[in-house]
Amino acid sequence: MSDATDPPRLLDPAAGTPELGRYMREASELAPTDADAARLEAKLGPIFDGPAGAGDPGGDGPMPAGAESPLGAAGQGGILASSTGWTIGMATLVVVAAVATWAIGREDPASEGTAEEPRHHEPARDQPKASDDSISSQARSAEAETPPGPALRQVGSRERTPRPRRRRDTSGVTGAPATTPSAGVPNELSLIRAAQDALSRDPGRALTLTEEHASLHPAGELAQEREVIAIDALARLGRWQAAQRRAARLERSYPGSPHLRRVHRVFERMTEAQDRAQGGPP
Amino acid sequence: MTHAEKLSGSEVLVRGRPTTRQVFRENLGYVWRALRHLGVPESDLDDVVQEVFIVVHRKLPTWEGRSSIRTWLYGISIRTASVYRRKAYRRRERPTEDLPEASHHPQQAHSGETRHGMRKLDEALRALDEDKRTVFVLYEIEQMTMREVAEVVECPLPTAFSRLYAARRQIAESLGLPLPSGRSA
Repeated sequence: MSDATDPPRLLDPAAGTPELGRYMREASELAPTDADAARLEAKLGPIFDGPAGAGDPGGDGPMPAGAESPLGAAGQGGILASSTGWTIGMATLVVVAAVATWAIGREDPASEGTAEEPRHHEPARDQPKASDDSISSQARSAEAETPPGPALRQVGSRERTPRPRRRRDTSGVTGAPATTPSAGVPNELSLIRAAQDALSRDPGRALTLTEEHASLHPAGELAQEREVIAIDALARLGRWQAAQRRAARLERSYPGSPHLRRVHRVFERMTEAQDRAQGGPP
Repeated sequence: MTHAEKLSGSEVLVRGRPTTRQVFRENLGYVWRALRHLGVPESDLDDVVQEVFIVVHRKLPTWEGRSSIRTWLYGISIRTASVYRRKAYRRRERPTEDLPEASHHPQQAHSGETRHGMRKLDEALRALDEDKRTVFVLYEIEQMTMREVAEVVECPLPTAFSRLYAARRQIAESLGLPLPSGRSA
């Protein structure tokens, strides 16, 4: 089908490009096999059998915004899990931290559940859950080029089993002297802010600050922000492999994190820089 | 005849609006091929195809039929492929998957020549930027009209033409083949 203004297609013999035409013809004849089609339909059958419009718990965007992506962490569930950007993410985390601090400050046992509840990022349905050990192991190998950071907390399911109540340690340093709740969060926040501020003009300094944060607040509320800044800093420093490995670890630990969008932008930038360096397309 | 073709036809439309399963059976080949040429390696094709049809299932009740369903599907496929490609570091971690090893061809066995040709074309397509590649694939391979292409990629028609001609030049150059005069720009 063509409009009158459309130019002849390359596969049109009349176009006089037999070689290009052959490529186009072969490309246009590619198709999944019957077995492929049957396999895909079997996988999607349960979704098709559900009510249309409810096949995915996502929002209104063109991509499913839920975490039930068949791509798992690599898919849209990971990439577009939320339209929340960096700023909103930061603000949310600060609010969560403030609520936690307030709850602990009150020493109200009824508030402990709220204060203790970590930020949950729903893992993708098909995303295998790595154990803490495996993450630590990956962290060890991944950080060959970088000073080792703490293992990220693995996300869990929202369906939690009851846990014994305990006081939240906002310092995040096991066995360390307890910091006052009101002092712990601002320190953490100021470090992350300083690292973020340093990122564009002095990525080395930003990386150092993230390492400082990691040592002071290994399981802090802003651990994800720290990792994103560290990844960005590594990329800016040209330590791309280290950045890639650290990003993979972050994505594995927080498959639905809104911060992954920023990480992806970092890698887009990195890819473009590499292409330019190699004389590729702009 | 493919699975999709066998199941397509008058049975597909029910009271003017197809079900997701019918859309799937009718259009799987288009979606699969478009994703394949838009840079999704074969190893991930199943997952990305599923992703497209999950979106289709969710959005189908809102499809108003102002464009053809194929145009609508391509829009979803392009955005899904784009999201997939943005994960550059994932590709770089598994560079051997950049080039699909095999493709399915309904009419003929995978001759070495065909496979080699498709790999060369894959490389040439991958060298294009996203905008040009999409226009090229939709027009030259999927044989949409330029008006439809412009609608899918949401750009003015002259821009779509400009991208097509630039893509043609680049593809011909990458494959070491000449373009007929007067058709490359």
